[in-house]
Amino acid sequence: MGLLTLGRPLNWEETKNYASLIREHGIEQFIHIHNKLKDRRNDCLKWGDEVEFLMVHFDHENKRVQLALRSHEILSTLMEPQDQNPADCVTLWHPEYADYMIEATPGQPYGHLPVHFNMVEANMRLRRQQGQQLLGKDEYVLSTSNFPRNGCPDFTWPTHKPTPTTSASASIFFPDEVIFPNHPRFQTLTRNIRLRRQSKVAIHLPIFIDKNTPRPFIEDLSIYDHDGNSNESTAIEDHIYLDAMGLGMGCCCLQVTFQAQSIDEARFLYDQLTPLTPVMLALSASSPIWRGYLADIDCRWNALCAMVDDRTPEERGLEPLKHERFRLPKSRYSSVDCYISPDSAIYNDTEIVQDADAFHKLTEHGIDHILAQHIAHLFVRDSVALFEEQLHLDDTKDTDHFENINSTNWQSMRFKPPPSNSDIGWRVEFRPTELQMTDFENAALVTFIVLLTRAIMTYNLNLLIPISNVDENMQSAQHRDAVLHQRFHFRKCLSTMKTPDTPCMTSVQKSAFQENECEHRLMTINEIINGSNEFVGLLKIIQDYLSNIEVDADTRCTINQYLSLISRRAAGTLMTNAAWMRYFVTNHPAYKHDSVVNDEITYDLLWKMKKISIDEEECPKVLPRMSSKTTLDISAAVEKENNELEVKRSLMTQHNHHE
Amino acid sequence: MSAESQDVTQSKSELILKPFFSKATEILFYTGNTLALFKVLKKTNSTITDEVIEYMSMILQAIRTNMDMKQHQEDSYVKLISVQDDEHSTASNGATPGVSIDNEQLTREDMKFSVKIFLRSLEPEILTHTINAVLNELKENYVESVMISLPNYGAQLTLTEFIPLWRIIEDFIDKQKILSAGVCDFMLPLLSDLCDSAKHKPYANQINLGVCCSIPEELNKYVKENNIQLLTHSDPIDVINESEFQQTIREYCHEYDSLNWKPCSVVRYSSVIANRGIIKSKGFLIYAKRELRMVQ
Repeated sequence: MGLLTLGRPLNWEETKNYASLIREHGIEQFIHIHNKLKDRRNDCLKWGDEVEFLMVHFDHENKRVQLALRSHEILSTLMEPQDQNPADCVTLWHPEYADYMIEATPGQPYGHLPVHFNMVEANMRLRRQQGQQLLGKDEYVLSTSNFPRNGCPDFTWPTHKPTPTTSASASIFFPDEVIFPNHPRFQTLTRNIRLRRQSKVAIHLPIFIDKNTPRPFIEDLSIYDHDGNSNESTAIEDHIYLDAMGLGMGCCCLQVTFQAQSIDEARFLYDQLTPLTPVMLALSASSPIWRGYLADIDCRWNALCAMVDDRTPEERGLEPLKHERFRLPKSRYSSVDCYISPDSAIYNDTEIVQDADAFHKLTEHGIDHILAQHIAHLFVRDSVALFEEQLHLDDTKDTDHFENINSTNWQSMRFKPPPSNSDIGWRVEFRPTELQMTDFENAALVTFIVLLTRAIMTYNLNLLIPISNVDENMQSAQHRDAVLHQRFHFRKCLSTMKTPDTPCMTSVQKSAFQENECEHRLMTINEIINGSNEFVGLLKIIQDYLSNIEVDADTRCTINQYLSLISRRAAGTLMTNAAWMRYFVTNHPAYKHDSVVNDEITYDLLWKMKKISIDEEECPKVLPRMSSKTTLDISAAVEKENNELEVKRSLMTQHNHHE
Repeated sequence: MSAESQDVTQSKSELILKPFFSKATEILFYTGNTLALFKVLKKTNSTITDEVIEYMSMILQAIRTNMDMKQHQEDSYVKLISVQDDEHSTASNGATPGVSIDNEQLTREDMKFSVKIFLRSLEPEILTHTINAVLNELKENYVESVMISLPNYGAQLTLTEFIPLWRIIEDFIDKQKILSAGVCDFMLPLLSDLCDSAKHKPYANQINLGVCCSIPEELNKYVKENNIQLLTHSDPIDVINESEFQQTIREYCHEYDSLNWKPCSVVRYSSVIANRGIIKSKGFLIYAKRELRMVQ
């Protein structure tokens, strides 16, 4: 998670006082880096994945499983290779919000070679093994978005009791000791978000109503409150209550980062990927159980939005605006609010709250309106974590103040300028995807998204729909079994209008697009992915792209299996992780059909997931039987071919010069 | 024959009264960059046969619409090029339409041209002619990769039958017109026999997608030991046969225009921006010959 500067964190009062300073200098820094690096060209479109793992401890005697707070003990060991020799690592490790989480990326970003798609899964598997090696008996690395009993009593190992009157979160469920202790950032954020908001964070997730679920379902929260101060915690009928940043930021996700060739390409990718965020969220759904209850939603997204929501009552519209500058419709963790390429302006159909001073400053310094709007929108947020030693920076050289705000706007996409003093290019993060229980599935999702971007760029496709429709889709995506039952706004015709006028094309275009016809309509995930009589389907576009590039047999075999998984999951013949977890719970002998997922059920569920993740058991409802041909070794033949071509090119250049 | 009065907007159902190229004994179709014609409403998983027939049809339709009877009347070698190729040069620094990302000037070094030649005849001069046609129409001094796919005569191809063709390829490699070449659907022992006899070994062997997940162990071992890439394709061995080829011409032209043609080679080419995995162009060449028995 973002920026890890060193030093003493400021308390909230001090932080608040610096809000304007950070804002002004953050904008200065962006202007500077933009104008300095807007013409930077990188020679390759690079990409990489980021996986956050959970660590759990199984108590076989008592049939319970708990989150293992081991990160502070093993992370430094995991980070040794990169501390000593950062250029030469196969994997890179980072701390995350909770002490039961570890996060890693591949050591080097992947690039243009098709064979890179064959490495993704093997690298993920290696990271899992590296983490696993450092764990003790009965401790395991697991990959799923949400630990089902996160926030239940004694949910960690070792156990800790929440202390709501003194803790950073004031949560009645989530103790401070669960927060990663070796860096003050996470506790600081927790405390400052709550203090700024002037109350605990809160969300009520709809519970899944089963045969024996009490009607109405209302939690008795007084049993959790040991300090007798529960007036801030409220239960709502038929909902599950959550009240801590850790119950959101303690969720794991799967991210893909692209490094574009230029700023324009980065902006283009950001926009084209935005309509795909709800599709990927629905396909990857893996969070149906919250605080020991079956919920009626399958994804973590809304919970996360609420668990870091620092908006004051005025900003949330609960009170008239007196002290705050804006009414803010969304949390600082949310789906994106606007597209950022000039051509996309017509699709920004919602009002975007912006810091006017920031907007004017940006445009005065040559930044176009659309990009200025995006940045000015990010900068309505205050800083919620500041460190003393990093307060006064050189705006022409440092970008920490800009990153302070950019990295604490947690959106479904993120646009990242190059860091100062590096030759890294303009980047885009794809952030909505939920984490799957196996490396195979995670690699499949990553591969699908990257291949899709290649196809979009090759064929000059346009996937844009109004941003308000994308927001609607993000809500639809989180419904129980959205993949099967929900419909999503999606663009009908993906080709751009600038194709030549040949007899064939004219007839196709005419029937596709009449003057006042709507560009998009509602489609199921199945239609979006697999196509229909009226829509080409994203998989067909990818297959067409693949048939035109040279891919070695092993990589092609692997990719085929990944695409088959996506296809079948979209068609409903394979289950999402969320659907399967529900199925497991509802068929468990100890389940009483009252929506309660107790210790024993959770223990059995996670034990099974552990076995599936290391190939000790199959899960045919979710995964196909074959395994891919993934490997970390790039074939020597490919390297040889590239070398040969280099040699021959130089021969040709010599030859041409002699002529 | 009396002078015809042709209706300029002649529909497909009206008769063509005269052949367009009655004296032609060789014909070359060249589609130019078909990527500009990407049709998203149509299902994109049509076979290469469907694609080839579709593009031939487009070119023939344009000829029919133009109704320029004089253009190819006397030609023995008829070259039919897709109309849109005039607007979009296939030179390597062409910009792609409809792109909202910046249009950077690409140099030849940034591109990688790959060519697959489907031969329907083992005659060496067909291969030579085909490779030259590709280089000429693409206006390129060299192409990076050529894959050669051979007709399926039922019996196993022998090295003796194949080696004259490979020698032609090697010649082009020596002249630096082709940088690397490979074969398609070769099994052992043909692949090893070729490598043993070749001056320039094949850099790759392209096998059918259907078997990519179950490659014979022996073959796998051989390619890894000899640094040969195993690539994949989902193409048939025979892209277009005599009757399909003739029938396609018949639909748009005079009966005499379609008689007796034997397609000799089909080429599919593509160019990729080397470091980005982005395809810049894709197209086809179809070369056919016939003997003329009827003179109009």
